[in-house]
Amino acid sequence: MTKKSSADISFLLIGGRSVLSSGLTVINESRESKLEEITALGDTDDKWGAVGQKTWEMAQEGFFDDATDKWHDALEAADPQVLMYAPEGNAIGDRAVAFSGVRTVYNVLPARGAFHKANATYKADAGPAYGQTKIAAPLATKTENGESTAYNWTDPSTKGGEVHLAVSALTLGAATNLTVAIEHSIDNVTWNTLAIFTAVTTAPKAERKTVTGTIRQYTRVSWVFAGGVGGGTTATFAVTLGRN
Amino acid sequence: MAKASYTDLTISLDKAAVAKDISQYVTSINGWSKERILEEITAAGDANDRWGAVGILQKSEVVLTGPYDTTANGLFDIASTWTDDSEQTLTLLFSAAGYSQSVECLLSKLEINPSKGAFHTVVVTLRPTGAIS
Repeated sequence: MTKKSSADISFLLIGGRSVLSSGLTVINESRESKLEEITALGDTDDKWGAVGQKTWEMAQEGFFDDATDKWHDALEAADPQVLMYAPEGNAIGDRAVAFSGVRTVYNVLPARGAFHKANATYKADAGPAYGQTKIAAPLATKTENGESTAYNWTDPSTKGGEVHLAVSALTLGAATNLTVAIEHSIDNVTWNTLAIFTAVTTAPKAERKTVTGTIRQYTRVSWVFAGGVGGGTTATFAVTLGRN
Repeated sequence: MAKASYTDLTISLDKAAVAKDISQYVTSINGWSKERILEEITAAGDANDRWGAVGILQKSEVVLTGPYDTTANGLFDIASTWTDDSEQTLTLLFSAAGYSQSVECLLSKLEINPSKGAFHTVVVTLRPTGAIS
């Protein structure tokens, strides 16, 4: 058996902000299918049908943290935020949750003799993919151009999907921007671009893109510091890929 | 009496229409709840209330809880890859003597609950549709 515990959660990125270290204590993610009773005249047992609509919700509990780009900043943001969360670990191929979320509830809860607590609930305004979402590039710091190790999905898919990028820290140095792309391949030898994210010049920053059609069996992430590295160039980012 | 306990229970759930034994991944299950729908038919002149069976048997949702375990064909693996609206068969073998019942189910809800200092837990809610047989 391969159980996972709280120690395996490797990142939670909200709008590119890395907030796991803010003192997150509980997460609840919930996917629900809308069902309706379709028992008809003549039936002797109740019957149910799936309407075809799904709802998604994610709730979090933790300690209140008003440091720059931490928990409070992330939860106060009014616009939909890209939320990326890794419950299994930080390796390529580990399951991830990634979607564009609208924060609905944000409770700041002071109490005598205790640290303030902060709870929040998100609903999705886009995503998550209801197939498998995997870490394509682990959250890590890069100082050179490069590409990740390829991930083998075992087979290709034809239903498209979505990709998410979160950049939690960026020092450009000599570079003018950071450009991250996802590539796919049928043989792990010849690679073609699946999606390119908007060039990043500041952090925190995050982006969600949809992809259509075939996603080939092998995928990897490549990144380029435009203009070359030097003068302290460094970027910390993660990428996920979800297949519908 | 021929009692049976949790140690006798075998839980099987289809993955893409192929039965998989998920017993070792389930730490709690609420089992079947079958309610015969009744309607009161107490009439004028009756000194006691009277009820009639409408003829429909209503089932409650089946809720299975277990650890977040990524092993293939476990509870989490089956629920997380059950992404269409297909019906899959849930079978409970209650005792070694072989008392077994099955029902077709829709996946109603999948919850994943990480919490500090604990294994992640998975809660899978199934909606039986049709007869338990």
